Amino acid sequence: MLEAFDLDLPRGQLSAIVGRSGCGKSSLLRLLAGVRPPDRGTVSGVPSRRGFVFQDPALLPWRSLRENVALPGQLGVDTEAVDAAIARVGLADHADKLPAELSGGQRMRASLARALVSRPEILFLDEPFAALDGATRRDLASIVAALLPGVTVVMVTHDLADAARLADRVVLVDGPPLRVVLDLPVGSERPRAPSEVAAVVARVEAVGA
Amino acid sequence: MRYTLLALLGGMGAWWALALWTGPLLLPSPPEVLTAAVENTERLLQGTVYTSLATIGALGIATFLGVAAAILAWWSPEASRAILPYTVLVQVVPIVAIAPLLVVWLGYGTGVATVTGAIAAFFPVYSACATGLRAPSQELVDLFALYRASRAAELRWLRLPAALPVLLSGLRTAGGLAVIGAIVGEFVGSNGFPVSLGYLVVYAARSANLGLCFAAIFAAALLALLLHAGIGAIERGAVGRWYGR
Repeated sequence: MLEAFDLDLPRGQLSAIVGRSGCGKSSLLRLLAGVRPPDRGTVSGVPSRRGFVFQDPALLPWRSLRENVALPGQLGVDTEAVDAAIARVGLADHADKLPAELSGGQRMRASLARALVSRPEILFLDEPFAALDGATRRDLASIVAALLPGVTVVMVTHDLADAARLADRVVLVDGPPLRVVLDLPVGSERPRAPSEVAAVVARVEAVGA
Repeated sequence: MRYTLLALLGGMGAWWALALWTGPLLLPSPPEVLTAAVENTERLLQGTVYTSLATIGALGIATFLGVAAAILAWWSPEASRAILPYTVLVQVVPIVAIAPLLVVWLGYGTGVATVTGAIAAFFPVYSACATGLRAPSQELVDLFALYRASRAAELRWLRLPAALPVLLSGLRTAGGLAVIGAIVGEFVGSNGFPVSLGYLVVYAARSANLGLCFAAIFAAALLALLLHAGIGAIERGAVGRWYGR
């Protein structure tokens, strides 16, 4: 799937990895996060305190929001206070609810809280906004943006506009085997003017087409 | 609900008509079954209690062994392959054929029905639990991998709770099978001390008391129904909330 792959993930920046579906970007993210071991060789240079937010919120349905966020601590990971993590994503009033009692957007935020409770140095996001409506999407994006530059964020998305709105760098990949087609610095000022977003999208599309 | 009731009433009517035509020696009518039930209330109650205990014991054993085997199979692929022939064997072996053997080993009384009931109930419990342990989504498995969770932690916090809904629905199937298994065991392994439903069915048929025979069959069916409903209630109470039901 991928060989001798080198990727710069500048500390404290949000790197968005974009590319057509099936090119292996989700696998890359799991490899970087250490969730799946590589077939051969090693992955190096990734900080050890990691958070991961999946496309699906992946909450345990039998646990309340608070108990879900407490999971990393239970598994032996050093964590901050559970309630503080819940408050950071604005769900303090819902801590005792089961995932089934939360809305789709709230579930996604709960998933983010669970990733944040372990105080990650690097946060991996796999299509985090894919299943959300516009308002919830902006909501979650602003929570993620507020984490910078304390946390390094790597986000995989197929939505170029999302990437252009949020990222410090947009990395266009193609494959398999996976390779970097374009590594485009965007800047760190947010929110961005629509014209600027459109310009980034146009530049990436020009290379990708 | 209305159609269920109509169908039941229709079935009862057809039975009654058929019973009038054949006469009580071949098929007792509903009132004759009722009379037999009233005349033998004590024995029927005793038999129901005894068979219930055997069934519940059987379900307990089947659940313990089924869950243990499923966990073992998940834990190690080698163990999974090693226990495969035995799980199949337990499923395909005719209980009727081994019940006499069990009488030799265990003697008349409680043991045989409990063991035959457990054999009948084992496979659905094992197979439901084995399926349930593989139920968690790839994301959840990845999440536990991210935090370097041990297999024991993965089993305890993820696999077992995720298996519970599937296990409970397997238990509903197993409940009915445990009743059947226990009654087959009682056909062979009970001599009337104490009275069991399986014994009553055989005894009543031999003495041409078909009214009592039917009453015992209904008691057994009622037991299976109650088990089914009871496990269903546990399912809704414990697991329904997880999925917003």
